[in-house]
Amino acid sequence: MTGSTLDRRRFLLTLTAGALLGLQSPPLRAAGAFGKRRLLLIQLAGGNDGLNTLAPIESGFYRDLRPTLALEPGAALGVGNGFALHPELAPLMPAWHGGELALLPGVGYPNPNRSHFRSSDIWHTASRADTYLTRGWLSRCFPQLREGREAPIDAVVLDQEPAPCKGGDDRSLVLDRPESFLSRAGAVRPVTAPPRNEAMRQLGQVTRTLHAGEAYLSGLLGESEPERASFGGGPFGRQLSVAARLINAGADLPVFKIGLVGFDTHAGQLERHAQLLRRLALGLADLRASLTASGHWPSTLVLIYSEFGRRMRENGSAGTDHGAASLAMLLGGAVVGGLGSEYPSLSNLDAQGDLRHGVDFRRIYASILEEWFGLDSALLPDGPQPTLDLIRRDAGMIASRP
Amino acid sequence: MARPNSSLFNAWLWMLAILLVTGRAQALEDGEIRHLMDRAGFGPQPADLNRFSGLNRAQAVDLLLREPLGLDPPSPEWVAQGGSDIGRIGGLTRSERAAMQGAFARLVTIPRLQQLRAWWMLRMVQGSNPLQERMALFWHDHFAVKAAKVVDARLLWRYLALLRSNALGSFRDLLRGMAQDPAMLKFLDNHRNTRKQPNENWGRELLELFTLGEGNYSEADVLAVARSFTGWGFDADSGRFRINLWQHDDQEKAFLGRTGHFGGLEIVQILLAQPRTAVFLVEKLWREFVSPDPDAAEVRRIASILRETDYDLRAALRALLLTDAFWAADQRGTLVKSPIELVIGTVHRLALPLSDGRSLDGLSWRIGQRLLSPPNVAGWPGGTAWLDANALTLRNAALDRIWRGLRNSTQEEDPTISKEARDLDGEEDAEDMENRSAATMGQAGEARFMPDLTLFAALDDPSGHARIKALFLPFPEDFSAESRDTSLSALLEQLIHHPDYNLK
Repeated sequence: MTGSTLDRRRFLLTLTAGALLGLQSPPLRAAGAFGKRRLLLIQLAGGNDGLNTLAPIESGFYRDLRPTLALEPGAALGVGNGFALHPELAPLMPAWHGGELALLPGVGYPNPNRSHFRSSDIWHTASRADTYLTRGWLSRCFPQLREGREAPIDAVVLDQEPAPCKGGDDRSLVLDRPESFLSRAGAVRPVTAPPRNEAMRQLGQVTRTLHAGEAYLSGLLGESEPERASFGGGPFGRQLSVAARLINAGADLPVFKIGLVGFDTHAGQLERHAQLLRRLALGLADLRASLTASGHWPSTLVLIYSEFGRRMRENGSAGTDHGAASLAMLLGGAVVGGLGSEYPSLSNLDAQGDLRHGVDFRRIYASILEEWFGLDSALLPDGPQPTLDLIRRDAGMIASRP
Repeated sequence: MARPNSSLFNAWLWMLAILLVTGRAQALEDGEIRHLMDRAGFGPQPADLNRFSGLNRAQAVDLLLREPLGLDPPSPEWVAQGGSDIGRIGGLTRSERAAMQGAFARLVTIPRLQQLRAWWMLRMVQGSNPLQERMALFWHDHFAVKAAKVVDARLLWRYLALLRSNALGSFRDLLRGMAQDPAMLKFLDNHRNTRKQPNENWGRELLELFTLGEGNYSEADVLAVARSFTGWGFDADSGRFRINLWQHDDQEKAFLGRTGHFGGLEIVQILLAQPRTAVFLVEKLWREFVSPDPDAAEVRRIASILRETDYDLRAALRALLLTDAFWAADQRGTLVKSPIELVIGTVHRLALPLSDGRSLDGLSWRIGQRLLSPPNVAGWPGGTAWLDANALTLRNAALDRIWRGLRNSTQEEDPTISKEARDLDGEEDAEDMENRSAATMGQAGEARFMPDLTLFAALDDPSGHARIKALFLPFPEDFSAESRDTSLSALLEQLIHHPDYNLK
């Protein structure tokens, strides 16, 4: 391999990208500068059991249908009105008491689909259950979200699942580990010839996005240290750590995506679910601490979601099967904390015996677009949706639009 | 300047006269050989320069079309063996059954699917009939099935055999075969399509994706097709197609303006009699081979040929590959190579002497496309959808791996299947998406198969290097060396890493 050639190319690339950005060196950010608002998507992949995350702890139905799996009242963390959080979510209680955590039970959509693949697609494209869209819901908003931001990319996807960002003029980057990404990105040759056809034009555009993004991230990483907290460890912790580092270094892009995998608990749910929720809570607690210290917490909104919930009745393997409505959560400095929606009825179940949704998930997206980013929820494929008052109006932060 | 030798001059005059008389009979240029082999095969080797030397377009296309079908080695023993129906074993608890299914998947199904994919990838590299290989892959995308849902490797082997044997044959045979193919019937739930509870999945996709396209039929037509195919399923033990007459709805149906007591075969016949079917197919073939925007008049002309020859695919392909649009200079490099094409094409061009295709399967999987794992029944979207920032880095890294040499990798577990055995709906589990990136490329200590640069030895001089550039890139004039190293090895490495190498 031509090592010296690679180094030379990287050097030239960085200069070129820098020239493209109109900069001679990576941007420096003053400590405590807030920057514009950002959204962190945290996907709990596999179908998180909302019933045991936020449990109707005093309900007889709950205990009858889950003889093995129902949470113990003593251990669970009461949040009022007969509901309690899973004990492993204890690291999130400071946020709960500080009014920064919103719990949204009963989130779903009409004609729920119980296939991981299909339901994730529905959540990621904000489509109806009977419509097949390919464009991610956030991809539709990037042109507006880009305004006034200096980052040459729109999203950093750390969990290998970029669906909400894909499509259109896609400027999202998928990273696993920053170092390997940067070296791989640096090895992609630039497109220098003018395009002779549409395919070449797209190839050139994507390559430029890649290199500009690489230079931008490389600058941010170069002037920052890796986060010292563990963020719960494991791949999830690593993703959070990278996101925190980039945010704290001043990454001025609107979307980050992170994923925690393993929620498809058909068997042996108690142990597995507990481990996952522990990871989630520790990670989010460290994230909150890190971004609060750097002053970026007020401008950060975290949406935690899953493609569906699980069935009320436990199965014969001490687990649960795919259900319908589930729990979404919002965490952030500007969130209206508390129970943000009505807990679905435990007796009035749907034809398959699953919880009926009370809140269409697209209303959460609409709330994020309108209340958080100051955009019009008409950007969603099915048009505007009524919002849910999830963000404090007195948050007084710089919105992404004037 | 010396006066031209008169006999030599006469010879040139005669050649010119012959050329003029025979019209557009010019021999293919190097770039046109690359274009043809990139589009109708998986890319040229230097030997193709000789093979097509002096041939014009029609002769070159005929050479490809006249190639006999590749002689496939006999199928593995297990294809003909009985199935396992763990579902029918009584007296098991749910978790015992799940454990048995998991074990069967790990020990039997996964290795068989590995074997199938590896076999197929290697055939694409080494097969003697590249157009047949291209078309088998095209038909897999058209009649897409997912291994994670079909699971039974015997069914998938036979599905593949159906695609390969009919790839260049008659679409009539292919469609009839597909309507009775157990892998397809299982994938689209037709084995659960019964008189009392019709299941429209196969019926809908047959009309929407396989023959007419959306907007050319009604919902009532979909139900009519579903009813006509009730009872069409397969025997789990033999894996063979079988019609369960008790489940079959033999009442009258109304379909596309006709009525009758239709069964599946009658539906297929009616669909093949629709002019729209041939147009739909030719449009799709146009997008695959020619350009993203089919020429309506040419499509109609070629669709007529397809119908008049009773759906002879060779005839349609000949017409398609000889359109002016296919050879137009502004159609070079307008299509994007899929991940499979990129991997197969590069390994083929550089003639890595692999004897097992498992590493090829792992590579294409890593960069975004795996045989028998399309995103859904609509196949792969393709085109510029293959190009995003992440894809570019992965493709580039895959080309690095190929250049450094590949191993026949050892067995690797396919996590999608072990999950599927437990998962009720048979879809890829979210965890598998994480595991996907952990696919291994082989173990240390195994032999590495390197690019065979001796193939290019005869072209290792300045004018030969120019020909090599034309063999790799649609626009060789855009290539400039990245360093002062003018060796053949440096040239080849730079060519496969050139951005335009993603295009064909």
